[in-house]
Amino acid sequence: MLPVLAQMTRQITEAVVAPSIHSMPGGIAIEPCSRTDAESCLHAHELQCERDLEQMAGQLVETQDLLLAMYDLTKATRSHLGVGEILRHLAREATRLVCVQGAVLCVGPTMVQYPEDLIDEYAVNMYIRIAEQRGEDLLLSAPHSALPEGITNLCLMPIQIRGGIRGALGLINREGGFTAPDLKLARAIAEQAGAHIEHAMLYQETLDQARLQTEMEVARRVQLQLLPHTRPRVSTLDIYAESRPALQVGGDFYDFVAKSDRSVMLILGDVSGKGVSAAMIMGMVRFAARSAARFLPDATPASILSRTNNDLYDDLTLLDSFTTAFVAQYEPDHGLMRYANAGHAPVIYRAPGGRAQMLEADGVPIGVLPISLSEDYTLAFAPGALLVITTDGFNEARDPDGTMFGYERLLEIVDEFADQPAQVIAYGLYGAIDGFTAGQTQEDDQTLIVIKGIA
Amino acid sequence: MALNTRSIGNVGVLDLHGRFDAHVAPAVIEWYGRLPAPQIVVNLVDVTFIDSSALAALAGGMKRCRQRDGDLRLCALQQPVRVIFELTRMHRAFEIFATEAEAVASFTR
Repeated sequence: MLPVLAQMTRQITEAVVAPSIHSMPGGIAIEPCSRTDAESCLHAHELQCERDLEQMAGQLVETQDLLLAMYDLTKATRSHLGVGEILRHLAREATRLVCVQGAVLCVGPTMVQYPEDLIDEYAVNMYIRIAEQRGEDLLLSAPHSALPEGITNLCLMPIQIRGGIRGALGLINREGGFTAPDLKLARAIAEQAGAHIEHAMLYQETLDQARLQTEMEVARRVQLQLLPHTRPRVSTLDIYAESRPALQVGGDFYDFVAKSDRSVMLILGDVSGKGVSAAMIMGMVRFAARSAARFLPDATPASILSRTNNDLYDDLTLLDSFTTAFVAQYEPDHGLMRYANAGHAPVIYRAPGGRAQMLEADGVPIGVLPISLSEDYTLAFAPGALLVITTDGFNEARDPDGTMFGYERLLEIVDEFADQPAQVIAYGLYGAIDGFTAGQTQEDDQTLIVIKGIA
Repeated sequence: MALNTRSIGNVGVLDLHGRFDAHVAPAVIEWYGRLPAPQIVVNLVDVTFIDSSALAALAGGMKRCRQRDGDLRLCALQQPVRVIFELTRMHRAFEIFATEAEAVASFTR
C-alpha cells in the first residue's frame, strides 16, 4: 500500500506545482502590468494553488481511506466461503467502515442484518424495489422521507450479481448524515460485495454439483452391481440383456432365475421416477420379485407379480412410486413362453417368419392397486421366435427436435434384425436410438432383454 | 412450479399443460396436502405427454383420496396420453371421463 500512496503524493504535488512555474513567465510577457499588479496576480495564483493542493490532499486522504477499507474488506472476506457467512461478514465490515449504526445485506431471499435487526424485511424489500425502479442508489433521511421507527437516515445500494440486480446493501443511521465520501465508500463496498457473493455462489454450486455427482455415481454402481453378471445358459434359447444407466440414474432392472438347465424365469422392471430414490426402490422391488420367483411354490409369472404387489404395495404407497414389471417363464417341454405383465411396455413378440408386434399388458403396475390384475398368458416359442423387452428409455428417447423414438420404429428395427443373433438385435436397437438422439444426453435408463428360440 | 387449480363446490380441479413429468409431479403431490376434501379432478385436456413420475403422482393422489373415501378422477385425455394410460394399464386404476363437467358431476352421484 505505502509505495503506491507515496507515488500518488508525488504525482499530485507535481501536478499542482509544475503548471504554476510554467505559466508565470507567459502571463507576465503577454500582459504587461505594473509591479503591484504582478504581485497581486502572483499572490492570487498562489492562493489558488494552495486551495487546489488542499483539495487534492483531501482527496488523497479520502482515496487512501477507501483503499485501506477495500484492502481490509478483501483480506477479511477471502477466508469466508458460504454465502450466508459472506453476507454476515460484509454487513459487519460495512458497518465498521462507513461508521453507521448497522447494515443490512440481502441476496435473493436471504437477508442478514448487523449487529441486530434494525429494520423489518418488508421495508427493505420495498426500498430495493424503489431503487430498482429508479435505477440508482437510494438515500433517505428524516424528516424529508418517512422512515421506519428508530431510523434517521438510510442509504441503499443495489448489488449487481451475474448481470442483474439480485441484492442490496443498506446502511442505517449515519450520525450527522451520509457525506459524499461515505456514499463513495458504500458504493465501492456494494460492488466488492457483489463480486464476493458471486464467487461464493459459484463455489456453492460447484460443491453441490460434486456432491450430487458422487451420489449419482454410487447409485449407478449399486444399480449395475445388482444386475446379473452372467446370462443363463439354456440350450434352446439365445439370450442377451443389457442396461445402460442414464447420467441421472433411473430404476430399471432385470434378473434371471434359473429353474433348471433347460428352463429359466426372467424379470424386467422399471421403477417410476429417476434419481437415487428410484435406484433404491429398484433394489427393493428386485429383491421381492426375485424371492417370489425362487421360493413361491409353483410360481408362475402372475403369482410372482401378485406376491410382489402384496409385499410392496404399502411401501410403494408411502413413497409415491410404482413399478411396471414383466415376468416370463420358459417351458421347453411345451415349446412356450408363459408371461404376465404389470403395466410394462414395450414388450415385442415376433413369431418365426411373422411380423413384430406389441404385447399389451393386462395388469396395472405394481404398487398402484392393492390387488394385482395380471394374469398368465402363453406364447408359442419355437426356434426363430423372438421376444424383446425394453424399458421406456427406448421409445421415449428424443431427437434434437424433441420427437420421441416411439413404438413403430422399435417394431421396424426388430423386424429388420430378426434373423440375427440376440446380441446383434440388441446392438441394432441401441444403434438405432443412438443415431436418433444424435448425441443428446441420455435422459433415462435404457434396458433390454432379447430372447430368441434356437434349434 | 405454480399450479393452475380451481374449486368447483367440494371438488378440487387441477389444470395441467404440455409435458406432465418429473418437473411438475412434486408440486402436484404437494397440492394434495392442501386440499380440504378428498375429491379431485385432474383435467388433462392440454397435456401432450405424461411420464412415469407423473403417473406415480396421479396414482399417489388417487390412493390418498380413496383412503379418505374420496377419489381422484381424470378427464379429457388426448390421444398420446390415452395411449400411455392404455399401455401401462393405468386406465384400469382410474375413473376417466370425457369432459370435466362429467368428472365433477360424478362426485355428486
